[in-house]
Amino acid sequence: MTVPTKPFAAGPLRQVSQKQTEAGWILTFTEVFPHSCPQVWEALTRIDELAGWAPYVPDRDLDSPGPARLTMNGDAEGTAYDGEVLVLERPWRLHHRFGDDLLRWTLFEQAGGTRLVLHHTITDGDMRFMVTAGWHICLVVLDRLLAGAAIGPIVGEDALAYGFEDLRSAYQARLTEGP
Amino acid sequence: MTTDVFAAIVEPRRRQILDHLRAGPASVNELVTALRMPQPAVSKHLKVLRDGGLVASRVAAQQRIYSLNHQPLESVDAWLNPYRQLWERSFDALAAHLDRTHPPTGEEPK
Repeated sequence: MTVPTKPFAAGPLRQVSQKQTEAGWILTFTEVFPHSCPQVWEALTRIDELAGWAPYVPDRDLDSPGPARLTMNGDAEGTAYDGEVLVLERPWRLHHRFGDDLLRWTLFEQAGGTRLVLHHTITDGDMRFMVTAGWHICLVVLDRLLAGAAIGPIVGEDALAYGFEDLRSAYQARLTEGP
Repeated sequence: MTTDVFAAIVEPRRRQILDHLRAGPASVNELVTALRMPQPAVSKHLKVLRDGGLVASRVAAQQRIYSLNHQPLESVDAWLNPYRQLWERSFDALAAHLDRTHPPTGEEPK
């Protein structure tokens, strides 16, 4: 395990909900950024920006429909997933596949910035607490990047040095607690 | 990235996953618990093993279950075969050498 060297604080648990459907589990994340929709859009679609915060780096900007190969960010072996941009409405809506999963990004203009909603459909329900902890860390890193204080991606096993296990068990407790 | 079987098994933790799946199919959570490996590592290695054809997966009750597919390991076995013959020849040569220098007991030197 790496030693944490980045100025990263996980902060409170993020706003997340889950829904079980025929297609799998849908995790929904809602974040507000004090930046314009086009600024957030660039961070979701451009290779060089995604490399700074996202769990994957595409082989092309995600700015047009069609296939894209998504390599796991920071993975020494270059493990990659097939992806495909399915829906693209700049700068509001981006839907793309990520391996077996589906990511649907939507941006909304609101007073003082942008509300980002991410629906992540996963086929393996066992993965949902891990996926939630992973997005938590990535979205905090994205916030730093947008604020002009980029700290570089915290992905894969590096995330273990930044509180990944605590986040995973906290989200597991939150998402499995009774009604 | 095309993963050949050798690239898939070069990582010690991937071999641990294969060893565990030899006993039967398992979910990610079961592997995480049994192997005391962090979940991001397990899911990444399972992806490489799937790409290499060494592991198959099916979705059951919205959970992915992974199972061993040992057939690609035959190419490892085939690659090893000439080396195995080399060892056997070395052992044969050693046996012959020992027979000469230390004749088998039962034939007491006169």
